[in-house]
Amino acid sequence: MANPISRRCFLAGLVVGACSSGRLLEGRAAEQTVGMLYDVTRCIGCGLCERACEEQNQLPEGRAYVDVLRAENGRERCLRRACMHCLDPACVSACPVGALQKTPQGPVIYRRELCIGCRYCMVACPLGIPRLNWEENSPYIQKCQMCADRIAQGEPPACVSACPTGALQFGLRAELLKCAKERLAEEKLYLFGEHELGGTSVLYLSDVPFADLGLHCQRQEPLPKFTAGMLQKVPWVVGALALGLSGLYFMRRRQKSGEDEDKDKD
Amino acid sequence: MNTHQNYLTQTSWRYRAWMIFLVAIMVVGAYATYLRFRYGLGVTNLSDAYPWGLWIAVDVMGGVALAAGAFCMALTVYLLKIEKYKSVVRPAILTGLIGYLSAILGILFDLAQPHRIWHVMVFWQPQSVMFEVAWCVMLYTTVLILEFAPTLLERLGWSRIASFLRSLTVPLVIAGVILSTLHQSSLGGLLLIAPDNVHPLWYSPLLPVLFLLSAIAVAPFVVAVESILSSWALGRGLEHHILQGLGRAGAYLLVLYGGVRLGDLLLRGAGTALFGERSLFLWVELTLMVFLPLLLLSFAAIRRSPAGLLVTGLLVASGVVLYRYNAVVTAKIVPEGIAYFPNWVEFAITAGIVAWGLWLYTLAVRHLPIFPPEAQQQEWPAFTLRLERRVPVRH
Repeated sequence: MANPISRRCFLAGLVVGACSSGRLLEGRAAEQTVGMLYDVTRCIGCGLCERACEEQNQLPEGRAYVDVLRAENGRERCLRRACMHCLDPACVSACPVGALQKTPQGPVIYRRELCIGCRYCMVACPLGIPRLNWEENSPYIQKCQMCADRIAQGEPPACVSACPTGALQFGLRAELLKCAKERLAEEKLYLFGEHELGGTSVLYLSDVPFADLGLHCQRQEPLPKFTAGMLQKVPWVVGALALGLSGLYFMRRRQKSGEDEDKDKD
Repeated sequence: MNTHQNYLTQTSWRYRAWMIFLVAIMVVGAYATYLRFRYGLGVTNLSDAYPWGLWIAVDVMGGVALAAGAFCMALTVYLLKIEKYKSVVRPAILTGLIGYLSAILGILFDLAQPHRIWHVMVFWQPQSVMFEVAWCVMLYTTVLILEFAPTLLERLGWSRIASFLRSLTVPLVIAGVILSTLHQSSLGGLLLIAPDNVHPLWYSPLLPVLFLLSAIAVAPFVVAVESILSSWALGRGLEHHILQGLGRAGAYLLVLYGGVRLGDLLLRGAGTALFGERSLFLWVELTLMVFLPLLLLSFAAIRRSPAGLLVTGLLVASGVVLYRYNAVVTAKIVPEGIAYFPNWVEFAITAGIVAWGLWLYTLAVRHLPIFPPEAQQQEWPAFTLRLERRVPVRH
C-alpha cells in the first residue's frame, strides 16, 4: 500500500504489544487499557485473522468473530468487521444479567454461562456485531472478546499474531492512539474510534472515508446514556407515585365519607 | 326486562364450537412449539439483523399494552373512587392477568436460553432497561395474582384468605399503578439505546411516554370490548353509562396520545419523513389507532351503540399492537437487502398463545363470579349482535 506505517510507530506497537502482560495491566487507569489498531491501508484481505480466530476460539469454518469484507463490489479497501470494544459499550449496559462485561483491561467479554438469550445486546449494538447461531437449538451470542485469556497471559490476540502485513497491532490504547495521530499529522487519513461512540478500544485508520467502506457510524457520544436518563428517574417516579397515589386515596376517601354523611343527614 | 340465553352453558353448541375452535388453534400452536424447541430459533424468520420479531413486538409488548386495563380500572375505582366502574374491575384484572401470563409465555418462546429466565432474579444488572422491565413484569404479575386470587379462593370456599387479600387491595393497587407506569414506559425505553438503528418516525426520546400513554389510551377500549362480548356470550344486560363513560374517557386519552405523538414527530423535525420511506406504516398505525376511532366516536349513534364501540375498540387495540410491531420491526434499520416477515411457525405460536388466553378467559367467566349477577344491570336493553336473528324473549 501507498502509505507505509512509520518505523517508529510500528516499533512502538510491537514493543507495547510485547510488554503489556496481564500483571502490568492490573489496576491501570482508563487511558492505560489495551486496544488494537487496524490499518485499512495495509490490510490485503488474506483472511489469516479469520482462520486464527476460528482456531483460537474453536469455531466452525466461516464462523469467526472477525469478518473481513474484501475489496470488491465497489468497495475500495478491505474492512475488518468485529467488536470495537467500546469504552462505554451499549451491549454491556443492555444485558439484563451482566453476561457482557467491559473488563478493566479493555476487552468486552461474554460470559455465556449467564446469558439468557434475550438478544437485547444485538438490538443495542450500533454496529450489529453480536450474532447468534440461529441453527443451534440452544444458541449463544457470538462475539470477539479480544482473546482476553491470551491478553491476560501477556500475548496479543490471535488475529494480531496471525496478521502478515502489520495491518493489526496490539498495545496500550493510548500509545496506539498516539501513533495514529502522528500518522494523521503526516498524511490525509481518517481515524475511527477516538471519539466515535464515546471512544472504542479498537481504532481504525483509513485513507478513504469510512462511510465509503460501509462503516457509517458517526455518533460521538456513548449510547448507555440514552437509557441512563430514564433509569435514573425510576426512584423519583416510584417515590412521587407512592406519595401522590396514597394522598389521592385518603383525600377521595374523606370526600366520599363526607358525601355519605350528607346523604345520611338528608 | 330482557333475559337472554347464556351461551356459556355446557349444552350450548356455540360454547362447544368456540372451545373446539380455540383448542384447534392451540393444537397447531403446539406443533409449532414442538418445532421451536426441537430445532431452535432457526425455524423462525428471525436473523442477526432482526433479532426481535413478532413474538417480542406482539406477544410481549402488545400483550402487556392490552393488559393495561387492569391497573387503569383499579386506579379509577379504588383510588379515584369513581365507583360506577366497579363492575368492570374484576374482568379488567382477569384480562390483565391473562395478558401478562401470555406475555411471559411469549418471552419463554423467544429466549434462546428460556430455562435460565430466573437468572434475572439472581444476576443483577440495574443499568439495563431489560432488567427493570423483567423485574416490574414479575412483580406486577404477582400483584395481579393477588388481586385476582380472592375471586378464585371464594369459589373454593377459602373465604378467610380471600378476605385477608381483599384487605390488601389499596396497597396492592398503588403498587400495581407504580409498577405498570414503570414497565409500560420502559418497554418503549428499551429502544432508546439504539438511536441509529430505529427509524426516526418511531425513535424519539419520548418513546417511554408514548408507550405509556398509548397503553393507557387503549385500556378503556379493551375493557369496553370485553364487556360487550362477555355480555353477549353470557346473555347479560349491558350497563349503558359504564360503556359510554369508557368511550368518552377513551376518546380523551386518544386525543392526548395522538397530540403528543404528532407534536413529537413535528417538533423533532421528523416532518420531512412523514411522507417518505416507511411512512405508510405510520399512517396505517395512526389511522387504526387514533384517526378512525376518533372519527367514529364523533358520531353519537356510534358512540352510543355497543356495536359501534366494539368496532372502535377493536380498531384501537389493533392500532396499539401495530405501533409495537412498527417500533420493533418496521423501524429497524438494517443492511440493504435484508427483510423480515414472520413465518408460519411464529404466527402459529402467537395465535396459539392468544387462543390459550381466550380459552382461560372463557373458562374463568363461565366458572367464576367475574361479572356481577344479572339483577344489577338492565339499565340498557341487552345487546345482541345485529347478525343474530334472535328475538329477545319478553316476560
